[in-house]
Amino acid sequence: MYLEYFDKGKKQKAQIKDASKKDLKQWQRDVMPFEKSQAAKWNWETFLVREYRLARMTGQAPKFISLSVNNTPVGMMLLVNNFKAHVNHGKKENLTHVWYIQSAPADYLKKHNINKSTFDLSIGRVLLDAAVVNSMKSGNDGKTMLHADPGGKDFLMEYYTKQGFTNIKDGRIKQISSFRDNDGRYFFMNKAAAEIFTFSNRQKIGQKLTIEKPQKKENQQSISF
Amino acid sequence: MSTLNSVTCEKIKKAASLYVTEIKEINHYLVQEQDTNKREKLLLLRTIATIEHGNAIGLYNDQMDDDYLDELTVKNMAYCAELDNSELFGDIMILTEDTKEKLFADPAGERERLVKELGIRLLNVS
Repeated sequence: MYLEYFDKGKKQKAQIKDASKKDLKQWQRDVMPFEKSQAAKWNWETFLVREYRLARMTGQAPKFISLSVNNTPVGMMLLVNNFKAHVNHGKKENLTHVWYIQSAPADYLKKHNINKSTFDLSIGRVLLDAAVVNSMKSGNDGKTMLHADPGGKDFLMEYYTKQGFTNIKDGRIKQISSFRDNDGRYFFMNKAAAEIFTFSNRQKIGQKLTIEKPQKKENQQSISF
Repeated sequence: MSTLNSVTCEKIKKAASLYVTEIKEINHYLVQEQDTNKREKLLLLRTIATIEHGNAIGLYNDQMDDDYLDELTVKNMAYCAELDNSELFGDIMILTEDTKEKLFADPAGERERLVKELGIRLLNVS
């Protein structure tokens, strides 16, 4: 997927792609030292050996996705495309679940002369857009779920709501899976909301979204070791 | 051509059999348990079982190439077909980083502590 987001006349090129081991290493080395939020504890190289492999072991079709602007990495994400959860009453649905998502910190962007005030879409929004598009391409109809990290408190809850996700509130869906209670921090975007979300994003950047018919469900992303 | 030798396949099969039994045992306790605090502990026990199973089949080996990982996961999925994998994956996905690090650092010790606190006995775990 190659996109030209973030315009306002400057034509800064943004690229969304499947992240390689080298990309994860670079992110960990160059970006993480700038991170001051609860995400500072994350280690993307460890995610590749542990979390990603556990996701593969359990058949979740994991994928790392990176976002860069003018070849400088500005966003990273780990999602799975084969997750099943109760997001509606009575039945489990197959969907895409965003596990880890991170935008590069402001100090890092400043160091690399990336001016985010010129972006048509925020880094976070582009990453979420990539997740939803990924869901469409993998046959999940854009249905996308995520869990707001408790460390992000109310800010994250408000952020995801603002992006068009619906909070799966406790009481309405009491259990996300057979034994796990809904803690009130799960968010979901259904097919209709996903179409509106991706359409409005493309309106802002003056592009059209073409989704080819999803192929047979992939089980994993291959990463060159 | 298969990259997994027969010894490794047998090792995965044996580990998967123990894992499936342990998950079923924990699920049996979960179905009966009404206390939220105890249910959380049982879910942590289930998470440890999944992490330990990864260890048992050599999942976290840093030197593993992608083809090998592919075959390993396909084989494992076949042996664990009766399990609800999204459910088990969800156990790990929901953990805070601190809890996750604790479980990965000392799964056996954490399991022992939780089993003691819950006052239960898992048949296949020494």
